[in-house]
Amino acid sequence: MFDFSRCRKSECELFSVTGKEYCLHHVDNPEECGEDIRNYLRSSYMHKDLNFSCITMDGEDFSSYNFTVCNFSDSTFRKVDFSRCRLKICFFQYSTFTDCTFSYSDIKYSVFAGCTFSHCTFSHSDIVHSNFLGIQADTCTFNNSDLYYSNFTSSHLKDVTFVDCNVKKADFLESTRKGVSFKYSNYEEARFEQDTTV
Amino acid sequence: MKLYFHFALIGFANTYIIGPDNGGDAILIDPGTMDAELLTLIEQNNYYIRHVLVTHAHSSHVKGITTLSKIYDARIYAKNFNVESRNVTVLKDGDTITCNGIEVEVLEVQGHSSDSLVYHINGLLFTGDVLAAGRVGNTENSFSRALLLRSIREKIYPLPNRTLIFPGHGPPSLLKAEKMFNPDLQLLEKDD
Repeated sequence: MFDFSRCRKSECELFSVTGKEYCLHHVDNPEECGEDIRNYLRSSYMHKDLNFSCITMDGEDFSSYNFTVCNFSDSTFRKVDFSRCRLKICFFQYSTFTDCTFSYSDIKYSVFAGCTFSHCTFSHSDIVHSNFLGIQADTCTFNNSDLYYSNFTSSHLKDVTFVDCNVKKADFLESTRKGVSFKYSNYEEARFEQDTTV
Repeated sequence: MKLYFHFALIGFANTYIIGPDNGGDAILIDPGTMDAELLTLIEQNNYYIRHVLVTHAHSSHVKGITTLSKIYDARIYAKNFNVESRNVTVLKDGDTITCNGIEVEVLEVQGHSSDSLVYHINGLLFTGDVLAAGRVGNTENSFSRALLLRSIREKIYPLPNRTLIFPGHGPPSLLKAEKMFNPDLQLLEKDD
C-alpha cells in the first residue's frame, strides 16, 4: 500500500507525497516537485504504492501503463491518455478529468468518488468493482464496457452513454440522468431504486 | 504493509489479505470462500495466514474457514464464541490486537447483525456489511436500522475523513465520500 502519512502542515488533511513529508501544496517548491513526479511516472510503465495527490497532468500519455495501489486524489487531468491502462486499487477521488480517455482499460477496485468528468471516454473497458459515487459527468461514454458491481450512487450524469454495457449489480441510486442511454445494456440488473441487497 | 483483494463469486463477497511487504505471517479478513484463486494469491506472495478476522458470521463471510483451517494454523477472531464450528478468540468494542506488528483496532457496530465488527488498521476500515459504497447494510427492522445508523455515527463518523473503506461487498470507498454521497447517511448529516 502507499504510505498513509499525512502532510505535516497542521490541519492539512492530504496525504504526503511519496518520499516527502508534505503534500504537493505544501512542499518547498510545488512546481518542481510536480515536474519530478511527472518525469518519474514517464520513466516506467509499471507503478505501485505511490501517493501523488493534487498533481496536475496535461497531455500525458499513460497508455498501457500499469498502476497498482496508487493515489492520485484531488488531481487535475487534461487530455491524458489512460487507454489500455491497468488500474488496480487506485484512488482518484475529487479529481477533475477533461478530454481524457480510458478506452480498452482494465479498472478494478478503484475510487473516482466526487470526480468531475468532461468529454471523457471509458469505452471497451472492464470497470468492475469501482466507485463513482457523486461524480459529475458531462458528455462521456462508457459504451461496450463491463461495469459489474460499479457504483454511481448520487452521481449527476448528463449526456453519458452506457450502450451495450454489462451493468449487472451496478448502482445508480439517487443519480440524476439527463440524456443518458442504456441501449442494449442489461439495465434491469442494475439498481436504480432503494432496496436491501447487501 | 500490503493489501490484496479477492472477490468470491459465491456470495459476491470481498476477502482481504493484509501482510508484510516481503511475505510472512498475514491477516485474512472474511474468508467467504477458500478457492484456488485465493490460495494462489496467498502462496504467490509467500504469506502464511496466521490470523483470520471475521466481521460477522454470515455465510458469505465465513464459509471458507473450514477449508482454510485445514491449510493454515490460523487464530480466528470474531465477536461470537463459535464460527463455523471453530473456537475463536472473542473480540469486543475497543479491543486492540497486534498481528505480526500490524495493529488492529476493533469497533463494534451493531444493526446489520448482532455480531458485526469493524476493523480499523492503519487508516483502512474493513466494514463487512455495516457500510458499503453508497449504502449501509440491510437490517431486519426499523429498530435495527436506527441502531445501525446510530452506531455508525458514534463509531465510524469520528474517524478521519481520509479513512479508506473496504467493505464486504462492492467497491472500496472513503469516509468523506460516504458522508457526502451515501443516501442512507444523509439523515445523519442533516441531524448534525
